Amino acid sequence: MMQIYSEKSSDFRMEPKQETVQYLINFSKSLTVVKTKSNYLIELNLN
Amino acid sequence: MQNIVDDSVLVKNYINGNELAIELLIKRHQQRLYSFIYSKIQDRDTTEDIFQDTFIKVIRTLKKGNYNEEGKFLPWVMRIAHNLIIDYFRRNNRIPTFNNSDEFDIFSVLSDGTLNAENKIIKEQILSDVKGLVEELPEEQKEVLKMRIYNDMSFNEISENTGVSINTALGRMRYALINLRKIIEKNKIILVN
Repeated sequence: MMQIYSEKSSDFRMEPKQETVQYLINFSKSLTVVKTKSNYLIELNLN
Repeated sequence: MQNIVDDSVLVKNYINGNELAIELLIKRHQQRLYSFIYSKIQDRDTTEDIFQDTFIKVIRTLKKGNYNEEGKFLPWVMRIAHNLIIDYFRRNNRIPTFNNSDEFDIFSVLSDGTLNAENKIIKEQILSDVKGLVEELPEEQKEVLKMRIYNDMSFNEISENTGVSINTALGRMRYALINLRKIIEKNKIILVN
């Protein structure tokens, strides 16, 4: 049977770029939150 | 049958230090969230930025232990994205417009079931937030506001039910709205759908 519509290219998919998702995963891994003695929360980005 | 771990379990695991959990949450909801942002922004690069900023905020909030478990994870994330979209339009001092060009895509302005469902989630979240804010008001103002807004009572009826004059009821309503605005401004809450 003749195929009239081909599959949409990945460009049309409503998804973020892989780099963006990877950046978020790395950001999460590098982020540490510590609580000071005076109960302040400090964000530390450790690479 | 596939065994799907609930969002709330993944959130707990992530808060307890399981980094894989955030990856699963992002991948589970990326398509829905990205589509939602794109439907408002209509620009790939900006959508990418807002998507990223949304999850940065999610990650920070979860790691700081500030996540309120009462709400569902996805509506909460959508709400963050929604606020960032509003910020974006405010910064750019414009409302969304559609270019009438060859690239104009009619489907971008036609809503579909998914988007309606998302708008519904946001609307419910906003209504629930407003109810929470009303609880912050002093008792007398809260009483009048609830009668007027939620029970649709006239000021005459409110006056009869509360045993105060109409003018007092009007005054309480006025201060209830002023205080509500103050609470919203103080907490930098955006209540727009």
